[in-house]
Amino acid sequence: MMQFLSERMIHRVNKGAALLALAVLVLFPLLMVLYNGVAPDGEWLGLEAFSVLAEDRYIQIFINSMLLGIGVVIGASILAAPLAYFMARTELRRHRWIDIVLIIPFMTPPYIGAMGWILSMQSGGYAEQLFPFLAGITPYFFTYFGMVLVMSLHLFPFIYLIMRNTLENIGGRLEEAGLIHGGGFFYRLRRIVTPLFFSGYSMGALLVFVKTIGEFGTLVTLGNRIGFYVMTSQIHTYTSIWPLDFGTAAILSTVLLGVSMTVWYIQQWFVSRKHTKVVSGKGQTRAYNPLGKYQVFAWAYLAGVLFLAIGVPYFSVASTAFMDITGDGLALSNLTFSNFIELFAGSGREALFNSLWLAALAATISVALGVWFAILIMKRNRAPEKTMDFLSLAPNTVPGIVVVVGLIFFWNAFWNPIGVYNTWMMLVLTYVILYLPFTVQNIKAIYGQLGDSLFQASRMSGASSFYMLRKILLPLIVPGVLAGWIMTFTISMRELVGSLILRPPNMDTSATFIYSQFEQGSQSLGMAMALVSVGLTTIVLIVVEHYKDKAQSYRAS
Amino acid sequence: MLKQLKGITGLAALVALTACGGEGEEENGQEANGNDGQEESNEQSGELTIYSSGPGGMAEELAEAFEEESGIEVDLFQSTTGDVLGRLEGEASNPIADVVALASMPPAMEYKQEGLTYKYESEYAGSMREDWYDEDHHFYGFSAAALGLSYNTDMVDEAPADWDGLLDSEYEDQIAIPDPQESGTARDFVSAFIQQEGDDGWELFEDLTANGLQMEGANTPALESVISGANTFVMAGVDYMVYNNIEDGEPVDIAFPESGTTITPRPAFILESSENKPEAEAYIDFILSDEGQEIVADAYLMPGREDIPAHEDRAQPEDIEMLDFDWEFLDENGQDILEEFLEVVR
Repeated sequence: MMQFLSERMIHRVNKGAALLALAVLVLFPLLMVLYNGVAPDGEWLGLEAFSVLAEDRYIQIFINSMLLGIGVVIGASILAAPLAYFMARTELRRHRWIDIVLIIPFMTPPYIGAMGWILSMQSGGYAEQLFPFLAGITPYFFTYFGMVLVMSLHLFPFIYLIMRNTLENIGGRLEEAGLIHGGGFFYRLRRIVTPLFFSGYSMGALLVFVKTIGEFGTLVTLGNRIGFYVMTSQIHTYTSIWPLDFGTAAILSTVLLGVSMTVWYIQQWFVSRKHTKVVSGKGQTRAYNPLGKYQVFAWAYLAGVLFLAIGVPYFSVASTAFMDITGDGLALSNLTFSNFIELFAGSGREALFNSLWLAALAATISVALGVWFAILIMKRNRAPEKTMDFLSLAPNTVPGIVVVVGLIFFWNAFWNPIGVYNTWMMLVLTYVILYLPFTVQNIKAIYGQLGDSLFQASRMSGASSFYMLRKILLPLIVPGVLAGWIMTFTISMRELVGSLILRPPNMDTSATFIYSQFEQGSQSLGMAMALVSVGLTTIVLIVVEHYKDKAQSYRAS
Repeated sequence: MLKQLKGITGLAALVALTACGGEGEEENGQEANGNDGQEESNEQSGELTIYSSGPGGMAEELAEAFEEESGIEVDLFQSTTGDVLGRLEGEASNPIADVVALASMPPAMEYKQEGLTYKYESEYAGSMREDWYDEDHHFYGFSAAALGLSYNTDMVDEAPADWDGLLDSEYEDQIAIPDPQESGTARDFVSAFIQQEGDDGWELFEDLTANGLQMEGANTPALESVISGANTFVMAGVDYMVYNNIEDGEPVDIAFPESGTTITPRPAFILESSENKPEAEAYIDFILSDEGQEIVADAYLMPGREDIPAHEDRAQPEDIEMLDFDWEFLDENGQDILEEFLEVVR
């Protein structure tokens, strides 16, 4: 009895600590922003502050945001679904390098991707320089569809990774059962694969939607250029252009937060109706539907996606990086390596190094927190867990700039005794907070597929809790942990908004270096940095993927 | 036990975080105490925190030269005006910066009105250009940029003599303007232009829109669109960037139209909340000194002092025709004019 009580106590304390940690990391900073919205200059306005939302232009930008979010979810899903299938079920799955290549679009800073597309598609751009006949098509890029295209190409790796993992874990067992009982291909797809698939997919779609409406780089680079204004670009205006109005920015952010919360709730409800436990410890066979000679179509599709997602933007990035005089356009005589030499001779090297260790540290802390939160969240489904789940998702639902402002309010408050602000630790903290959603959701996605049977079996065999943790739980979630680490590392490497504002004096990261080159220096030097930075990230990914493969060797195939 | 362990892992991470924080706290605490003590005895702390907008190299060069000359240790946060302002606003309850340098006048004026700036009469105040500094000595426009008509020299030989020359149908869909929502200088230009021209000004903007005037993001993207040939002209683009690009061999040049343009002094000021005022004062003196002003001139910006000439390869302040405007009007009507402008151009 005593034993039981103390274990419950510990569980409670643990849960309380997790809630407190999330409150400190996420809730308080966001509340500080909201408070500034409803009480600018310390004067309480309450709900009156929200009345600005009724203005026509806010309704229009709200609609724009939603349209974009929906468009990108559809676009990214269409891009990702065939790839996920090919990589989970066909001959292509032997080629693990494809996974890494497919993450590159996601590693590319969104504003760089958008910039690459703009440089290609603008009048007199690279596309027209190489293929003059394209001049009739390129203007269509500077519309809503162009924005959906660029953002889908940036975010599809997300949905792809989640789709592929889910498809792999669904395994062949259930499908074989369906086959034995005479179910046809489409019947199996409809009754077995699709329902199981959707729980994972809905999480991916949710993240992409939320990420899109909270995205800032592409929308400011491309959206403002074509007059497609959304919530985030408006918030950006209020937070960085005189006269600053943090109050209205906070109100608009609250709206975004509200939308995200609603979508999240719908997704939760949707998932809770389904039985999704697919990793049960029974012999796993992996479904394998070889394509045979039709492989060529799969490869062609892959090539097409890679051409759009990597080829076009990186052609622009590389061309610009190797270009001596931008105004002279594409020509062999205009080729130079001087930008790279300048990059490594100047302050660029230090900025790059800063990014590397900051991102690695942030990813590691983030993963540790992610495991802690995810396991608690998945244990039960009551109010505290739901709160934790939402809080861990919240940083992804509002534009980074809002989180950043909240972080200043909170961590630089005169009453805050912890002197993290204005040191490098603030950057690590910011990355951890901004990307906590990725680690938590990644680990959750894997953890959610673990059935209870393995734990019950081990308990019956007399295993201690610690033994279960070590021998069953951790090995099974390691892929999710590593996937979370990779994602956090990748995006921390290129994080811009937080780094820009929260970096301590005298410190640059690769993203702020690129940004300041674009703003006040040479675009070519910025692009050179982008290339080197993405290259380095790729190398780190290859190393981690290698370990991830090892960790997954339990899957007999 | 299982849960216990999970808790421990998580807690360890949190403890690690707060532990790091704890160390920082101690340091900060000591610093703060140190400052208090020094202020009383009127000694210098030997440290200075500067928040400065660009241009990139110049801010660093000024800080380094100042460090070398004075032995004062400088913490420099260098970014765009918007980011500097955002950070200042976020830190309002607990300010960290001592000296702020911006690329736009209205915020400095607002800061002064709110009593956030500290009055310091520099020995060089007398030799400053008129209207480039605050008469009450709260801020000093130690450098300035003019807005002009930048153009791609591969596409046209010469820029039109005045803004309305852009109405030529030859230039249809070839004209950009920095988005005044993103560029404070473009915003000031639009307001100043309207103050001088009134309804004629609006008419010009309407006609320009009919001729394909496009907003192209902040200053740099707008200029890049001209360098790469996507546009031929940028109206109301900042000049020093053009000169930098000319130096790099890019096919661009800039002209200053007859009916006038704006010159935006870039103000530097000391925050009232600064705990390092002697160092801050020394820094203001330094950027206004001969050495500081030479660094400004080398960055193709116009020096704030009358007796220091601008870079020989660029237009001198005397040669640039000014619009007839005053900053108070811009401060009061800027927002309304901006909104109307957006409606016209969108």
